[in-house]
Amino acid sequence: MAHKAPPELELKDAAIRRGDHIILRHLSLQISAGGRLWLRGGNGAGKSTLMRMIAGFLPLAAGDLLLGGKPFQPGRDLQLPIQFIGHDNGLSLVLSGRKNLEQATALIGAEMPESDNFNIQSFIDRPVRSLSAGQMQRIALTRLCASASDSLWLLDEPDTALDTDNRAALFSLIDQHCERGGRVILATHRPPEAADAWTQFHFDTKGTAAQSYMGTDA
Amino acid sequence: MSRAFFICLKRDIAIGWQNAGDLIAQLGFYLMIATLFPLAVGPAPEQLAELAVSIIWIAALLSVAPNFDKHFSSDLDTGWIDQIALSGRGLFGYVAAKGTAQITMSALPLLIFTPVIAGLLGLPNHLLPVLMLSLLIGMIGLNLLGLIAAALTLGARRAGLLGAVLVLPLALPLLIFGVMTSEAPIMGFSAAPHLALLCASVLVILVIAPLACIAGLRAALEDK
Repeated sequence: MAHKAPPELELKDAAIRRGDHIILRHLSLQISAGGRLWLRGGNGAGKSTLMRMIAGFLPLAAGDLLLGGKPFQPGRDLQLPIQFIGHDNGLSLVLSGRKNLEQATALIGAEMPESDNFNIQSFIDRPVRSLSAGQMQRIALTRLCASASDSLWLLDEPDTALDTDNRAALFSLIDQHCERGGRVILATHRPPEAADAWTQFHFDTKGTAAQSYMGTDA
Repeated sequence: MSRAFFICLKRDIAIGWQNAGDLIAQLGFYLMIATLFPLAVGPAPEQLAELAVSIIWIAALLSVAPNFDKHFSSDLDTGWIDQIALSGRGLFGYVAAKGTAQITMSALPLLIFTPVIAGLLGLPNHLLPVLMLSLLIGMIGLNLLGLIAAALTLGARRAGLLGAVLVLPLALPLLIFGVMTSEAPIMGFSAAPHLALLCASVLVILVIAPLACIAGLRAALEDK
């Protein structure tokens, strides 16, 4: 079988509705294998909404989401697996970190990751409810280590609760992932490490009629 | 799909084990309702034995209702449903696991507890097997209705109350056919026709439940 270049994920002139309001319109972006995209914009600009749309939780009110030029249904087409780390980390508070992690990795058909990028061994067997916000986030992020190398990571402010060391660990994990052909879309208010390597995507702060444009590679 | 089913079933059972207090509260509620009737209608044994079947059915129905809102809301809040939805057609497996976990961890204990209540109310022993069988089938239907209510009211305020108001009317066929099945031996009829109608009602619910639940979950994901 001929090895094809991994297809590009493209959002074309999209609009997203929440309730009766169209909150984002004329959105276009592309991300190809190895690409990294940094979503910038104030609170409520629509960063999380855009991520939830790309994850397939929100339908498009207009426009298309295409993978290699063909319509792409996130969560149904598994051609491009997606890992989503949002404000809710998917952890059950009454179970241990290890149980949570086992279930989350089994769900994507993967094994428990061998590497311990976020140093979670010391508290992995404690019930999640007894952990701090940063520790919970580190358990949730460890899920990324188990994801397929060609997957798309949607990271919605993943670094808010992290300390300096773990933030660095996150960005080195992102580096590795992109080198292996993965893609990352990141929303964060603090500039990512090696900000030059990121394509920037700016949201207009006017809210309802967000005019968006692609930044260029610096 | 089946992968999501087994993972979610294991997870629900593990979480249910940690929250065993909920189950004990539910059993206590069941016992409470059943013991309120003798206080209200009087302790005459013949009268109680006559009403025992109806009392047990109503107590079972009411003790399932208060738990409606919890089924999906914590999974939605923690983001677990996000993870399921991303895993590729996993929602069906997730809903099926919820139903299975609910029936094994809530309906079965209630059922096991039923002979005790039947004994308290003085139900004649020969009626117990038919009652247990009809209650088992009825509880499957009731719990599935509960899942539908939970999925459709996800994110609503006072979801528990709203769900109960939505679902209890739909549970009427279960109650009517269930009580008729359980009481048929008293009148000397065969229980079979009523049992068949009870099974038919549960089958209808079984077909609707996954569709309604998945639709409710998708709508909740959109609103989140």
